[in-house]
Amino acid sequence: MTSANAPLTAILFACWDSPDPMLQQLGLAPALMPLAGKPMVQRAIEQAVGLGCRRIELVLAGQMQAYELLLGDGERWGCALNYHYLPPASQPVQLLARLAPEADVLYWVVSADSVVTESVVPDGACVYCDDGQWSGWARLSGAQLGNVMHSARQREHFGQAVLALADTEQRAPQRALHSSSASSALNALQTLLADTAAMPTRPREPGIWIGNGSKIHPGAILQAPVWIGQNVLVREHAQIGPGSMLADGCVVDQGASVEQAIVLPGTYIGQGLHVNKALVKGNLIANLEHGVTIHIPDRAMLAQTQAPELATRATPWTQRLIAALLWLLFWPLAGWRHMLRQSASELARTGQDPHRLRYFNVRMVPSHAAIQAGVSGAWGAHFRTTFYPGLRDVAAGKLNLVGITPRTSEEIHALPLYWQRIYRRGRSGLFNETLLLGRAGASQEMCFIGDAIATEALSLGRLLLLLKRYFAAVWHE
Amino acid sequence: MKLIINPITATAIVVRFSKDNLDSSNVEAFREQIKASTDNCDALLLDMSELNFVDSSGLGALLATLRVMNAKNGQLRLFGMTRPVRALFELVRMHRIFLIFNTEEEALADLSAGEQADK
Repeated sequence: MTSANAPLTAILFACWDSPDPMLQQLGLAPALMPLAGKPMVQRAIEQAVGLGCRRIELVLAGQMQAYELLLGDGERWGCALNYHYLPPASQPVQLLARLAPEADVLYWVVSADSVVTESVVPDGACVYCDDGQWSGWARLSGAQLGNVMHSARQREHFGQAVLALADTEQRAPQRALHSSSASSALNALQTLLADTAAMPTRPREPGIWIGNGSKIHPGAILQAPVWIGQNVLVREHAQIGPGSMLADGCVVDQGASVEQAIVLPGTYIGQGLHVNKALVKGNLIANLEHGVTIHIPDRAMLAQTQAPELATRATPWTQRLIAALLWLLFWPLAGWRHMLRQSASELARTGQDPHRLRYFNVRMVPSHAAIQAGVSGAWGAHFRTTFYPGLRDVAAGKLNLVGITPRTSEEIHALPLYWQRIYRRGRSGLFNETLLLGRAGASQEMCFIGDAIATEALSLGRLLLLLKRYFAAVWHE
Repeated sequence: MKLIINPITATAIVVRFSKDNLDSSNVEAFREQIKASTDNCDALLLDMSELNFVDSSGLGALLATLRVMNAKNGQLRLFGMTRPVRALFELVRMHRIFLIFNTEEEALADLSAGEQADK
């Protein structure tokens, strides 16, 4: 399928919103639409790698975290995956400067919500189209890419610009899958379900795929073709299929029927409901037959099954009281106020670590990193710039006295999924137990255990012990 | 919630909604007002064209109205349903329980045809 001159780089655009109002109301990025166990962007990457690409440039307009968690660095596909952010207000030509394509080299230019297949791929520049519309894949030279990049704000304009290019062969793909609209996503699902070879796993019965951990009541009816993800619960007398997908974590209650539908992860479908030709996400249902998306407030009918990963606890009153007392105790040292202003302005210039998954007060980042690095004077700087000013936030209930250590996204991605959740929902704190262990004393595992402990309610005794160790560290410096 | 009531014959009336929602905030007012209509007619036509949102309490109130009309061998027809409400009815399978028409004329024609058949 690939030739010696096959492009080695693919540029995937996952920055385009869906033009379909139903998908917009569902709040679903087309490229992240899960179809039979894989989001479209993953299918697009695998297709590009199958065509010989070794480098993928992924262009995003948002949801960086979701894509990073899903795709990582591309190592599992044997390619290098680079992320590029195209903010809404920026000019696409700035993106072109970052990509720096070579004029005479061919690149795959792809809309990440589409996958096309063809048995024989031509050698030169080509554009795949269907009924005069761009199918989402094109093979262009760097010079041609430069000519169309000005239209990269919108998929439709970009497609028109690509089709208008001279010296490119226009071809119809053998098969094209799209998730740019609700109806195209449903059509794509039907196509995938009809092609057993395209599925990542073997069917349990012909046309029926059931993922690990799923429980199907013996009284439920499954009509092929049906895709059921992992940890799905289907209760008695429920009817699933034909042509339906239940993504991971869904629950279909007694007597409900799901036909020609995509049910997105973690959705509960209540008793007796009839879902037909629809996309369902939580308590939103996009009905393709009537062309509307409706919101169902009644949780007994439709709901999101997954609770928030960790409930964000309110700052305990003991911590708030202690923080208020400490703030008053150190208030007489008024000279620090000048140093605080100076330090805060210095820190504001340094900015935030772009790899941070969660937002923290900007003052915390450099001083914490300095302590970890063993920089001289770091404890004092932490007390002046982070701890003392932060006491007011703790007294106000906005922050914990002891909380989670900020970590880079790479560190967090390396963790098991359960641990990753700690960093998404746990509350941050002025300091953390692992800060007191220091770089020399703490292994990586101990540091993450310390963060997990910090998300639980600390006893008063332990809190006072940690404060004592913290002040001892500041005093000794 | 104020229902607009238009008698069309001696025993049939058309009821229109004055708000675009039938939910827990106004369902009690709907029940009180519709009771007067169900007590005084044999055929009730509900104009759903103003409604864009109905929640489970609204659905319950409509079902209760149907039960009342059925209990006295009366007729209930719904017409002019908007797409969101129609999608909701199909979701909860109530489109198989109620007689639903696109326009008032179709609902009246069905009513007349039913009366002719009874005779």
